[in-house]
Amino acid sequence: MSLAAIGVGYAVIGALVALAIAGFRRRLSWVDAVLIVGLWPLYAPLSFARAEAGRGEAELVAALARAKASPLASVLPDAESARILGARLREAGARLADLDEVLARPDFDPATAEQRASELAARGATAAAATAQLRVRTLGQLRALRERYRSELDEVGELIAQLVAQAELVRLQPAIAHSSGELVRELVARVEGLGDLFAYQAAIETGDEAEYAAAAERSP
Amino acid sequence: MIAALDGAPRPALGMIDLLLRDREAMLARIRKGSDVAAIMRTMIATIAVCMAIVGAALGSYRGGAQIGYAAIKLPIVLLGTAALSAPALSAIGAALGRPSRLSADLALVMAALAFGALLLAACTPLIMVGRALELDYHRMILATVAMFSIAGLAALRMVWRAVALEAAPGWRTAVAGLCVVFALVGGQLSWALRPYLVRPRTPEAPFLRDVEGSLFDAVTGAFRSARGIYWRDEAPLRER
Amino acid sequence: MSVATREPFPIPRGLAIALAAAGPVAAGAILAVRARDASPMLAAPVIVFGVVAATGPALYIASAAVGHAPPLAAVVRAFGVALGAFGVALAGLILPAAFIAVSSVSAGTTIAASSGAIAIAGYLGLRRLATELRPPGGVSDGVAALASSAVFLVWAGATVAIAGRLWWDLAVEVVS
Repeated sequence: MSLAAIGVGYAVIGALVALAIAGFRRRLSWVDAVLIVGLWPLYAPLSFARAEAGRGEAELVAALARAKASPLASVLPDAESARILGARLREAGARLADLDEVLARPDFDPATAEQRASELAARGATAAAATAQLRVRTLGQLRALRERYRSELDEVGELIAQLVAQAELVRLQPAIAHSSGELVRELVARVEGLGDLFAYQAAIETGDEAEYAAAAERSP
Repeated sequence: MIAALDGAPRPALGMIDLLLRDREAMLARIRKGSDVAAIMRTMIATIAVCMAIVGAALGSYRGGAQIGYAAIKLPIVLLGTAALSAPALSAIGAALGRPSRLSADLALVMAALAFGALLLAACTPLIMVGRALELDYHRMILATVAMFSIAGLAALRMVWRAVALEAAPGWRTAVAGLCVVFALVGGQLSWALRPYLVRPRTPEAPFLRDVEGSLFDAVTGAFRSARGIYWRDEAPLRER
Repeated sequence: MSVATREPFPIPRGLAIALAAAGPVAAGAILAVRARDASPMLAAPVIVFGVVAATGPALYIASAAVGHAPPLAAVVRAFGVALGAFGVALAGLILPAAFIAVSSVSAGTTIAASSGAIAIAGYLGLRRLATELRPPGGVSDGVAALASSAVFLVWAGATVAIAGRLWWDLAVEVVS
């Protein structure tokens, strides 16, 4: 097969992949389209991954946009606040993906760490066993943190879906718009509350979780 | 652990600067998944520009149209090889149980190749010195091979270090597999798109040579030539 | 740590198995393009799955005979994971192999490229199978460990030899 034929075949496959991605994401910049046609084995997986990772933020933005076109518009956060909320949601999604990846590593398996601590204690290496126990505790905290991220993001996802449904309902029954403000406030509060998770994660990483817990108890 | 990195998007030149000055930070950004798409676009552009510069420098050995030909072909060689080979890293690792994100692995390979391309671009003055001193063809070839080898090893080291940090099962095999696939594909693609460095006496430098066999056939022929067994009397001379 | 305590692949397991089914078809397609004959696309998956199905029970029987046999369900799962690993690896190797094959002039390069991709993927699948069949914590009895390793190596060698010979005969017949 000649190089020209190979090149044409490669470009045709790239064009088909670009069409598929455009259909999946509904929007594709011309730069992305050119890169997909020219480098589809590299760029296509990236395009699909971007669609996955940004889903939470994209859903929030889309939900707010739909609600803006309904009588709910008066109770929605402004554009700047919406952008900040979207960024926080994206950050939380990225941190959850990070935690999933880190906790999937063999050396982060709590059962293995627990076994190691027991072996060290049985051998009489008390100092090493104490360090190993500390590692077990830290791994437990990371797992708990991951579950908190997951449940918070699930909760936000449900609130976003509810906001979309509520916007449609309010369009049909504008009179109930004022009572939907509570839903929007709940959603905003949940997303803003992700900041507390970020602070807790930072406390774990710096070993200040006890101080963090004390500060959390003192705050109203 | 998971450091709170600055995830703010960086401009393209800032990313290239980060790649040159602090590759650990660049690798951390890729691992974190910060702006992987932007990183990928910047690295692709970096490879294209740097290899065009290197290609032009190699083409200047003969001069004339060869400058443009090589400037067009070298970026295609490196980007094409990367496109065909890079997924092998994730595929081989995943087969052996390495947890990976395909997008992060691809961005890692492209960042490493961009680093190698930058090093090659930094070597273009040496190529120009060879041209200025009228270094003979075979010495130029050897010098070019040496420069590409250094750049390649630097890129490989970057990939090795990044993948080694994960301590995941099968990481060594995955990196070794990537090297083998890259070498085979790169060898074949560069062979198919030759020539780049052309003898000054070549009468007419074509954009592409006729396909006369595979790279394997050419290597076999080179061994025979080195033993004094030739298939023609001499290479053609340039018409004066 | 055995990889069996968590998801075996970073992609859905069904996708991995689908790749295992599609991979040999793609490898056969490389030969088919050169030979202008579609039969390798059908023959290649038959060779892969047929040989594994024919020789797989022998591994279980021989392992049990030397006193080291995981439960049958674990063995079946291990084979599933190994086939998935084969498919995932082949998915990453088929594109380079296809390029090398279609850009070359000689039939030998085509055979080498497609055979190389299948061989490397097969090796990775066998390596994953060995990992999956190893019990967590290893085998405490040294003699049993040696015997089970020998059984696996002999079985793997025989399987590779059978599948390799069938593939080689197919490739040489259609391409040359």
